[in-house]
Amino acid sequence: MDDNQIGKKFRSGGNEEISIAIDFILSNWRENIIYDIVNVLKSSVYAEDIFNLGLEILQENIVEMKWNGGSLKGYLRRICINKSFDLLRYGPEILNRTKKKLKEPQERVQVSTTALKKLVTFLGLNCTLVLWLYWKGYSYKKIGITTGYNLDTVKSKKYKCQRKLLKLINDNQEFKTFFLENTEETKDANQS
Amino acid sequence: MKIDQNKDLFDRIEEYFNGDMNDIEEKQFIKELKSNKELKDQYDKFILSFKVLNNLGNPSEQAINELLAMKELHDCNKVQKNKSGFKIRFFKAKSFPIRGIAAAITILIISSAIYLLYDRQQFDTASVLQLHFDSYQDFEEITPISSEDFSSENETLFLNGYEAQKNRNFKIAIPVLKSLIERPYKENWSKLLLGISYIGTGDFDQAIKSLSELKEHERKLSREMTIVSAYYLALAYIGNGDFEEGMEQLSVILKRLENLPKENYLFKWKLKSDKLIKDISDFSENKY
Repeated sequence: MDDNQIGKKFRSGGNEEISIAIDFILSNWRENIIYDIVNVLKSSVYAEDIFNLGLEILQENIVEMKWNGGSLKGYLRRICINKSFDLLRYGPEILNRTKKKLKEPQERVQVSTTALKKLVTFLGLNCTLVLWLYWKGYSYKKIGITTGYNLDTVKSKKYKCQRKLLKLINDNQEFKTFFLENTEETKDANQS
Repeated sequence: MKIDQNKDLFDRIEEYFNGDMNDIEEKQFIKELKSNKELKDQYDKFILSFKVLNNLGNPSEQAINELLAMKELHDCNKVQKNKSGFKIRFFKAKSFPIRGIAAAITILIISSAIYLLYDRQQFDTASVLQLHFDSYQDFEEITPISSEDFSSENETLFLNGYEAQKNRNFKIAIPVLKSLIERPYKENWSKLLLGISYIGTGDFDQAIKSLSELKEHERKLSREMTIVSAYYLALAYIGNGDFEEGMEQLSVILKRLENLPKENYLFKWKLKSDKLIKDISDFSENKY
């Protein structure tokens, strides 16, 4: 089953169709994505819950046309990794979506301005924009439309910027301290 | 399964996270992650790069627009810096005479075609408007110089919008000013600058909308703001072909500044309005 067929099944709204799509994802993608989640959480306790949450969000995003046509597996993987980091930051409360919808913490829907500014100073404006949009599930095509780059430029930029980011993680102590260590400054950035 | 040895670790990890591997390749990749320490190290770092991006939270439309506006401003400045470099390269090129002549002929043909095809009435209106709009730099003298903290994010954004507008980068200024109005921050100034920017892009309907909103709160505005906004509203009406309404706005300005001494800093707006009325009258007489 290819990505478009899965998308169609979710959008059809029929229980049987949706079950087929979910079964396909569970039997083909689940194991590897759970592996990624465990790598982020360093534990398997919530891995299954995160995967189910990711699947729920994926389904919603497809129905609400928020999925822009990139690889669905990669998209689900990014959602799950993102939610894993959210779990580490905000606790298991994020797993309860009904509750979450009722009292969505403001800081989670707002951009962390301090972190954004900091990332721009390290990575540059274009790289930050491309990586951020990609991370949030924009397809290459949509990033191109948003930023004014052509498709090939978006792809090569994303590739180069990801490398640049990894280099910063490898070599730059200031960068690591700000983004990866749990310092007061990072906490402030996350809360702002 | 064979693994392409030419691909470096990064490429393979990127493929994996992009979902570009098929199921067999993915299973092989995960199997290798468990045995290849170097690959696992790089994979962990890749995961950390996601953590960095996770710090940014969910981008609102507004945040994306602001970042895009900053990008455009940045790109624009880059182009301006490179302009001189381009000229040097262009003139140094061996084929310059041929290119130069070809370019000149093309420009001549295009200009003639535009001149012949362009509607005469619109052309004249545009000339009058352009002449008066060009002098909008006078506006700088009553620039909203802030007493507030220049380092604040809102103020930085405002100055970006103002700078973009001053440099006639209206398309960049518009989203920035819109986001300031939404916040709201310096709402009245932002509406005024937004209106002027719309005139600059030729979108007179939007300019009228933005400037009319200001007029609705006229009582709360300073005298200079009232005058300046009325002047640009008049320009917007004229641009839209509504001379009558434009003239009415201008007469309101003249009435308000009736007994103003020459030394007053607002006196020039009286002169400008007078001149605009005269030009519009001349144009109307020629037309009819």
